Amino acid sequence: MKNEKLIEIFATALAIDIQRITPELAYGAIPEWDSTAHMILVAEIENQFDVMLDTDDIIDMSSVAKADEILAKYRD
Amino acid sequence: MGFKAQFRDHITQGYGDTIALIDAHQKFSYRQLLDAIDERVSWLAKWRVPSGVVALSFTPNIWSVVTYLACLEAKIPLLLLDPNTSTKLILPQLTTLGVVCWIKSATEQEIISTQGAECHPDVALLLSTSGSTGAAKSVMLSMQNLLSNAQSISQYLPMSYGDCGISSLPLSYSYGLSLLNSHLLVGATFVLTSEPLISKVFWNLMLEHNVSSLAGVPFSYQMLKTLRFERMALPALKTLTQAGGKLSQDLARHFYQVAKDSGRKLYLMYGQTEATARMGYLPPEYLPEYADCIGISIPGGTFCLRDLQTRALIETDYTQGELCYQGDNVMLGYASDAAALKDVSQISELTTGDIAERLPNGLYRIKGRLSRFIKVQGKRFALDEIEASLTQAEFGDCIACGQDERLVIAHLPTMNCEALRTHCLNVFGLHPSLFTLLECSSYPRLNNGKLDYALLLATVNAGVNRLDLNEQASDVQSQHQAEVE
Repeated sequence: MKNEKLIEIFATALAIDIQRITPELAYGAIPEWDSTAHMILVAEIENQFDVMLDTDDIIDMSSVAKADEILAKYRD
Repeated sequence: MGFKAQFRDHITQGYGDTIALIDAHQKFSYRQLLDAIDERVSWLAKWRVPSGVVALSFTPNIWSVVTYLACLEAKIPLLLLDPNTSTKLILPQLTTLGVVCWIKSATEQEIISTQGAECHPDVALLLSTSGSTGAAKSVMLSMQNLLSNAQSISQYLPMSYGDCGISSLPLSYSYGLSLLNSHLLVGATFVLTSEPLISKVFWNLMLEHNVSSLAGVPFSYQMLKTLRFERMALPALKTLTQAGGKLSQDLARHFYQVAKDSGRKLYLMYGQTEATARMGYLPPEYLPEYADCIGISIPGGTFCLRDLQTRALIETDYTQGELCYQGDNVMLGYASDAAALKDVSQISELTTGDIAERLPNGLYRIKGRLSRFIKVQGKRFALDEIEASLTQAEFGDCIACGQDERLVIAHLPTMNCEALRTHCLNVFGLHPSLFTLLECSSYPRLNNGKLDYALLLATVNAGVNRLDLNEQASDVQSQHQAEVE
């Protein structure tokens, strides 16, 4: 995955080391990625990429890879 | 009189086959629930030798709810625990309260002590008040507290047979528990789930079961806003309720509009675990003008204001005093150890620790807080307990202050900030966006020698994370000084 900006956003929102952000990392798999962190993640993604995510996309964003995939949809 | 009598009533009135509870695996009608409670009462007999408190990890499923209702029925004092709290934090509390048995699930129970503490017969339920500091202070509630509060709630909220609620908040938390109790009391349906608001499963449940009422703390409403709740198609939903701290003006305005546009009612509510859950609510017709008010007392309850020094009743409008409350839902008292469980007497008036004023139209408005606690994501954090816990963890002399949704920890320049951050994250369970560390050259004090919490807060609110009292007065300080004078 090349989207470095997204990886940085993940590291900030989940408050974990950037090395731990892998495409497979999934919601709920680590205690740091809880609903609070998820909301901060969504807010950060919307701010930094200047997009408005749909409800379905917010609740579908269940892994780092999935987030990358969803984001690509908005940037086309 | 208990829940069981109420369920028999529902059956007599022809609602025996109405679904009472739904979880991920099964559904129980009121008739089935009644039978299940009786069975569970006999099962419980073997876990209580010969007296004492039983603890229950209150997972939102039918098995746990039946266990909860069976304990109330069998008059077994019950301590409700959040199933997500770590064993390390729970165990000292169990020992202090002389808990005999910890029921973790249908398949896992653990004997904690063979000698149960003696309990006053009125003590039905113990609920924890603190956030995640692990302090063992619990609120003692009676069966009458529970029933009376559920009754009041069902009177001012539009709810009856045919309605459906959902466990959008933990059941071990007084607000979450009040949802369950009030729905069961009126013969409505209640969906049990631990899915968070951001899960697809949660919204599927809302649709599938025609959930008609949704409850949240301020943080839930923040989430609902991010999720663009207003765009969701939820035809059965008719009531939104909010408690667990003050909703920001911004969110209150937003959800007032959302509710109005969708023909729903928004209830902003006020309460404390010390009053079982609910004490006041703002009748929706006062929105949006009075969104900053807590409103009026619930049916059966009474608010009054008392002068902070003389404790005399304040009769005049717009005069600040401590908000006090009387009603059948006021707790029996606090239990910080097993001895407190024995000698209890009903408290006649609850002092809320909130400073309020009354408006000429009878609404009450909170102006400040006497006691040192803040609410973060609906959980209460006692600031003195935070300080004590930091000292115990060898962080030395720190000052905890803050406002709702933001904990501020002031520390001296020698602090290992990384370790402190990790502690806040792991032990208090606070995301970095919910707390701020403020480095102080020394702690600011007022003329009377008391800590100047207002200056600490003003500094943080100005976006500054360092306070140097030796430097020339900063802008924040001089502005703060001007306000004080």
